[in-house]
Amino acid sequence: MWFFALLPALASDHFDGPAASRDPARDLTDLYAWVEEKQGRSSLALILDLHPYATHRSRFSPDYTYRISLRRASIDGTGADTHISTGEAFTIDCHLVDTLDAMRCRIEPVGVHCPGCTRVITAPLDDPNGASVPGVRLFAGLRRDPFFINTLVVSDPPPRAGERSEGRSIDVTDNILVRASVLSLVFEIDPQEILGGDGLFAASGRVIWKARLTHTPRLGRLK
Amino acid sequence: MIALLLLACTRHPPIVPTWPGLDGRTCTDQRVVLIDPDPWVGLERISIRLNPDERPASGGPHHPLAVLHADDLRAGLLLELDGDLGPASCRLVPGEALVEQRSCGEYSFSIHYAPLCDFPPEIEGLERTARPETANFALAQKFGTRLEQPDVRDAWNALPPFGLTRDLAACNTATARCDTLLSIQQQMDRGLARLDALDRFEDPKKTRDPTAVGAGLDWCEHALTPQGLICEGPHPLRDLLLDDFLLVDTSKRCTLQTRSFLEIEMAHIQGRAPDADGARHQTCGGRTPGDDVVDTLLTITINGPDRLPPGAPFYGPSDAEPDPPRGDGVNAPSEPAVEAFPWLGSPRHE
Repeated sequence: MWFFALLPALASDHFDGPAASRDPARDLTDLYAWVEEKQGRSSLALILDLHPYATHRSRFSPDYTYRISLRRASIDGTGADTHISTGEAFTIDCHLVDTLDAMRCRIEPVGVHCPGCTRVITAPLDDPNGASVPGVRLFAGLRRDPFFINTLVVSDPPPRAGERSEGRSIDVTDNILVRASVLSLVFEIDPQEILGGDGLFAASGRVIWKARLTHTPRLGRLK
Repeated sequence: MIALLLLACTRHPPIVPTWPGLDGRTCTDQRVVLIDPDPWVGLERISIRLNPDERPASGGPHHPLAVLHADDLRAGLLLELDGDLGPASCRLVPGEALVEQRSCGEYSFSIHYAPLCDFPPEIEGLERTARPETANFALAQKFGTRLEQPDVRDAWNALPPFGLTRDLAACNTATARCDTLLSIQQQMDRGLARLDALDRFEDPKKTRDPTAVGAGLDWCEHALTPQGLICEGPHPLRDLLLDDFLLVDTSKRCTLQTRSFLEIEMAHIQGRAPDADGARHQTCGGRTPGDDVVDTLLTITINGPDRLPPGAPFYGPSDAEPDPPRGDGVNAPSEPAVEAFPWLGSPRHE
């Protein structure tokens, strides 16, 4: 019998590559997306977590844009012929404000010029009440890491739910993230108001470089 | 080189705006306010005070402002990126322009830009996440193998989450991007086969001879290679996992504990019958904070499709159980998510 003890490398997307492990502020750990009912309407909850084992000294980086991409999706076929298509896109781009004490996010459709569809929301960091604009609520800051895993998971013979290989009972400390926190971006989005209605969506989280102007703009003949 | 369009408007026609009421008769100067609505660019507002000598005697197409051209703007607005992007650079491609007169002599000139960036393929992005554990389970080089193979997780994380299977299908010529995609595709095939093969012999006393009867894979007909068992063709889950996103249905509700991860995808793979609304799935899909995604992923990848309960999910609203259920023994977070925004509990004090 052998085990792959990958502590702490194997935990959702925590430390999921050498580069991400070098800079925890760009190491996305998890994306959550689910739908709740709020005042008789659907409400899309999105959580993008980063910075494994974050502490009160951990910070988002001003060098990055934290992005959640949403695309309308359809799924067709069955079995090996199952196919997922994606279409109309929405982006949620977030970055620290210049004073580094708040997160500003812009939610807008991509590919469609629709000024009324765009929302810009700024939430002070670590305020549990977050901030709200019509159709969107945002929190940004340190939260408990909800992910749970016992990293001694893959063995030969393979694991069975409820069993622990060494024969002792399972307890909460087998979750290697039992005391872990993460930096979280939390959204509550009204699909009717922001996404053009209910439906199937594909959601993914990313970190990209935040571009900055380094040249003084010049406007051609307008001098 | 890959062009990454980050904003909506990509048209860049000559901008010949119609300047409303531009006469300047009572104003000492003209001012154009350029408002860039894109915080990604970091450019928010530029004011340009026109030289009074350039103030027009009358409006119309002969005014200097009227010859304002998209290329003029593009030439003046160059972006450079910090970091180790090497020669990568961005420029702004102006799109639709809107001009309105704010007050006497002051015009608001709003324009939507598309930052057009040339990135080497391997740094299209820095990091990505959607389906949990995919990189570590299916692509980590140390996972279940002694093979010396390149760690492709950084390259995979840098790729966009959508359209990779489409891009692979279009790889008719050898490019660095196609090489990367093919390498990831091959490693995902191997990684999924390794997971599938873990239950070949539930009894450790049995032979490990991969050519023996019963030594095959659950998801596919197997082929034996020097690197171990793989599917004869693509692993049936490969393309599904290569494009990395959570599939969530906002027309269905979940709770914080609903086991909804991969439920929409598996409803189709298992061929469940559609309901009255035509949906094969029962939950909102996506992923909830209380979802035991490790158990789900292990059960699906190790057991294969035939040992999952047919016609119903093996989690969530059904009591059906896979044979056997797989898991890591930890079935819930140490402290559950809370029912109120922002759902995740307060961090522990250090």
